[in-house]
Amino acid sequence: MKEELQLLDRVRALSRLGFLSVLGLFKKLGLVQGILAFAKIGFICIACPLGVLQAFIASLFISFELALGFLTTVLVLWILGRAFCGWLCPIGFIPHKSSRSFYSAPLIVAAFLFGSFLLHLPLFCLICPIGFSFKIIFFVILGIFDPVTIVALGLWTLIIYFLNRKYAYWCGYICPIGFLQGLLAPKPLLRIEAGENCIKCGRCALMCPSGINLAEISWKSRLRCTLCLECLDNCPTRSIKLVFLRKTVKN
Amino acid sequence: MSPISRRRFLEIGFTLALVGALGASVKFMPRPRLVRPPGALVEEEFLSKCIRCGLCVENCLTGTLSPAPLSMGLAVWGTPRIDPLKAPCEAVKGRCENVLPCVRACPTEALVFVDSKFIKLGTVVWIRENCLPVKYKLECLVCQEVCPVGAVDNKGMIPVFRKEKCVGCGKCVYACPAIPKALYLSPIGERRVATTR
Repeated sequence: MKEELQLLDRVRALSRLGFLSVLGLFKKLGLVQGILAFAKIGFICIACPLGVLQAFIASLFISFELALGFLTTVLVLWILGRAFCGWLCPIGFIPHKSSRSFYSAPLIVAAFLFGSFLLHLPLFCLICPIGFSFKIIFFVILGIFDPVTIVALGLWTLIIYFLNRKYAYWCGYICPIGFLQGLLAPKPLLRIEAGENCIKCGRCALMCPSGINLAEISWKSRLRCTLCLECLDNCPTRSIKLVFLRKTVKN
Repeated sequence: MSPISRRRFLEIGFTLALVGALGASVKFMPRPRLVRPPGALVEEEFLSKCIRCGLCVENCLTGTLSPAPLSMGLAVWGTPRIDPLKAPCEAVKGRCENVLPCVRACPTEALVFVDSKFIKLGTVVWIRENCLPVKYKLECLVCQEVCPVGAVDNKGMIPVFRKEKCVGCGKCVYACPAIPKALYLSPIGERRVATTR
């Protein structure tokens, strides 16, 4: 992995860093409450879809606010797709290329939901690396310094680094949140489409971290799109466009 | 079976085994009993509904609530607990009486609104050897002064704690001047809400 960092990679890394720092700052100022499992900005609630589903299955009950947060998240997903994965998720700091498919993620989502049902607690939330990163910010703001938490976060980051290094094993195969985001919004309003000038060279599939070939995109492969815009940047004929609300172009 | 699909099969099996191992460790590792905020459901229901978002902690007026760190156990980490060393809980005869900002903030209904007469977060436990009147023959009784419900009597100059009256607010623990503290808050005797599923 000795590829040079492209401009787009840097922009995405900056975006993640900006998201974390803005969230930390907002938390410090009291503008945003909660962590990403359930966050509240004024009256707007946002909830982690997997967290809500797990809590629902674990307790067979869903509160009004949680349902509202879930619906808001689904709405955002319908508009923006999995842009969170590509632009905001702190785990994306760990560099990765060439994740291919989601063949195990549905099983893993099912396993965690089943585990939540059996154990009566949201199982994935206990090890969620995204939750981990935000809880650490929360702990720092509250002034809790627990060595076990810090060491565990370090170890976990290291494990995910090694999982992600070569095949993006975490982001591409395991992460149930990423898969669930795709599943909740199979065809987001903001999406990547190949236009009429497409020569089916396959360069997009080569550059895409998820290996999507835009010339022959299906709903299944669209689940993997994180809107990272690598394809748009690398298309030799400049026929790949970011479209909003428009119908699919058929050639 | 082609080699690549065998590899996938192994990977899926390995990952599912890890999920199973996580589940087993959550199930069989001992769970500490923490002092929960007022209006908390019974422990199993509480853990199933709580999504560890921290809203109760952020809305706590006194700052007694804090998320449990990972060292307290995998199953409970991130859930709210009362930490009387930081501040006491004022849900009974204090600022939060009949307001309960933590309960109001909870989006999951893992905390539900309860009458202040119902609230009993736990019971305070007295460590005789650390108590200043016992240790140094000093006149102290700060615990009796700060107790909002009159659960502390005195026999001579030595405090006597009445378990049935104690609501577990932690004011005495917070105020106790002894180092190390002669009091700690235990969840023994807590009163929790049970909802029917």
